Amino acid sequence: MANASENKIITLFSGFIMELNNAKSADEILDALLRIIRKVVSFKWITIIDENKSVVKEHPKDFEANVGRFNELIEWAFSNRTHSFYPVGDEIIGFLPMIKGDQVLGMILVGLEEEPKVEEIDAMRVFSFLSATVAENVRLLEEVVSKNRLIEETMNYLHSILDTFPEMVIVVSEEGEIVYMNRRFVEGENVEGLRERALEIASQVIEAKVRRVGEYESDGQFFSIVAEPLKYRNTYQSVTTIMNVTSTKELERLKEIDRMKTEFVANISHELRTPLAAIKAYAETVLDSLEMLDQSTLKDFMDTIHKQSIQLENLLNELLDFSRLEQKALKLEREEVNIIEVVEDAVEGLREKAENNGIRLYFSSSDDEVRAFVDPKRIRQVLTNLIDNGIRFSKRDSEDRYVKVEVKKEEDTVLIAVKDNGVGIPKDKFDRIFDKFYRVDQSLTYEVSGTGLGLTIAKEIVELHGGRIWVESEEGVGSTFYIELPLRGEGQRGNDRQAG
Amino acid sequence: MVTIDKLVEKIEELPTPDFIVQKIMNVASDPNASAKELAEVIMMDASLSSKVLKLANSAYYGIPRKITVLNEAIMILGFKTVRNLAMSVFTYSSLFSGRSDGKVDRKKLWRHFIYVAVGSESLGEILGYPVKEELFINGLLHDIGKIALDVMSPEIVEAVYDITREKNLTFSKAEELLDIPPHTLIGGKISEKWGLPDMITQTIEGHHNPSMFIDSLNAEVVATVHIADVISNIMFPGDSLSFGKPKLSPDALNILSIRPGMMKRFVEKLRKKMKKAEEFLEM
Repeated sequence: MANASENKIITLFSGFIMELNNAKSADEILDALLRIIRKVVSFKWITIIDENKSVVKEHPKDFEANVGRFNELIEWAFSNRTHSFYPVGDEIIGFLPMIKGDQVLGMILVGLEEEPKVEEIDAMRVFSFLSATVAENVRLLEEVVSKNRLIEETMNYLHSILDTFPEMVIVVSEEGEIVYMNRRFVEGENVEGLRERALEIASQVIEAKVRRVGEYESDGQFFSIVAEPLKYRNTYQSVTTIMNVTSTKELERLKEIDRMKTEFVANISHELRTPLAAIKAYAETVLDSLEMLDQSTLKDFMDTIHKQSIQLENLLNELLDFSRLEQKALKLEREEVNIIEVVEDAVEGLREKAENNGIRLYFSSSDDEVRAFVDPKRIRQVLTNLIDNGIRFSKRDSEDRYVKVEVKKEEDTVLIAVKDNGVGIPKDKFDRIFDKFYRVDQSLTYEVSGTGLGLTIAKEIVELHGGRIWVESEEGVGSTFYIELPLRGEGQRGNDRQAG
Repeated sequence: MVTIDKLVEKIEELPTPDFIVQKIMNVASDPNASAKELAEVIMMDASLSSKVLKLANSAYYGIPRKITVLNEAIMILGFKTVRNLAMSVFTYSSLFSGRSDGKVDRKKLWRHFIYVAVGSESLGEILGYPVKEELFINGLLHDIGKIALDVMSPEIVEAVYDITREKNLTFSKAEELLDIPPHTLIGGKISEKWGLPDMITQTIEGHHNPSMFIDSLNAEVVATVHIADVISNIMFPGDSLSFGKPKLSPDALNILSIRPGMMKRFVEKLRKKMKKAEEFLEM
């Protein structure tokens, strides 16, 4: 007898567990509960209510239990947590609270024709407990799932906000891995070396736990990198923002040119006025006291006027060249010449000035004759400018001052070096000295005179010849300017170059 | 010196539950029994059935309408609750049937039985134990060994009582000091002799040391009664002839996965239920 009933319980349990396995919602679990109760007792009707006494499920479908009439008994069974059966009219009505832990989640009301047996009551009670537990867990699971969905939606929302940022945003972990990147970064990441630079700054931030800023330049593009430390759980990460500031940089460059132009105007006025004032003063003296001046004094005066006018002419030529250069109208008049002679000519032209300044001027060449197809006047102009710079930027207090010019023929080119032991040029200015208006000494004291155009013009002339000009220098030691010219004049920008 | 063997001999002389109580126990645990059958058994003893009905209608259950027939009481409160009521009536009468000139306050001892029964049931509700009626009967009978000891040799009980009261010790500690067989063991023997279910025997034997039955089918029941017993002894020192600080078994808390917040709720619930259980105290 006992065995048979144990088997029945086991069969019921097996069936119920199978149903629970397939149930995906709290509702389906209640359906399973209804089916299992039907297997335990034969009922006329069954109703499931929730903790607020609202009907959740009824069987048969069109049946209405009208649970309101049992209000008092329902309340009692809820508070007492007792599974009990009341005779009402010709029915026996079961009140089976669904309990999980100390919470009452609802109640099964079942209308029976006969009094249930002990075993049936126990079975119904256990199943109602079991389904309450499972249903509650499923409900919690559904809640977690819907919460997860909400979290996911919020995350997507945040992502799309971050994606609209004009900056690239990445988050770097302590292990140096990128754990987050916005769309802008994905798009801009192909800039060579940018990722490495950003990671480098991020790792500094994680190490130091303070904000760091940095820059990166690649292929004419400028990037500003700002990295902030971020404490996440027990580690530090870095929120790194990368902004393309190329347009800002370009603007800064134009502003700089503008500033240099203003400076240039002030400078050039000064440069023009100095010889002009001298010419004017000497000419006036000569005019006022012509009869009182002896021959040699007069010659001295006229000499000065002549020199100053040449200086003025040179300045004006330089300005003229520059204006041609600006208009892309600078033209070469090439002819085949011995370039050694051209260089030597330039050296000799400045020998007097060098000696007057206490500077020794050397010239040496690997060959006696190197034929080249160049504009000799322009090449001379370039060399004059370089040698003149060497003289002007010599170290005043130095004993042994020199400018050495060396010419060396190479396979298809000739290399001219102008070397001095003057003040030198700071390394970061190497490129800039060839920029128009640029002067290393930007103070307005003009210790050394000059328009700031000489090297710009020299560079343009060399490049028109298809050559190169560059500098090697050390501050306080001296500078060497190199000019490399092709011998055959194959420079793309030759005689027939069109004015732009 | 009293030995367990001598006591067991005396156990034979103890009153056994009468035929009706035995039958009630049997019917209530028969899966095929019906309310009608159980009602018929109880009705064989007129005094028992009226007392059961009185308890069924008591404030403790608070049924919204008056129950006039046993049949209904069984349907509404359940077989096991009605069985518990019958068992309560029987235990009450056994406790008060003997002579009552001793120092032992039987009323207080009875109060302890009822409070542990009510407490076990309340704790079961908090823990969501489905068959809370079983907890009630286990709580009710857990100290049955003390009744037996009092019936068999009241002088021993008095000696224990003197020590526990004066030295502020627990009943078990005094048993150790006097080197007498513990009430848990005596109670277990009686439970076996009366043919009570194993669950009840284990509760009686293990209610001071639930670790004994940690692997038993009844571990939860034993642990629940243990906690209700400890709390009851703290709330009403001396009711069970025990004083001093009872030891709460960590195993019991583990078996039931009790969190600290639950204990607070339990004590609050127990206080409310105790007030409603007045009718159990005076039958």
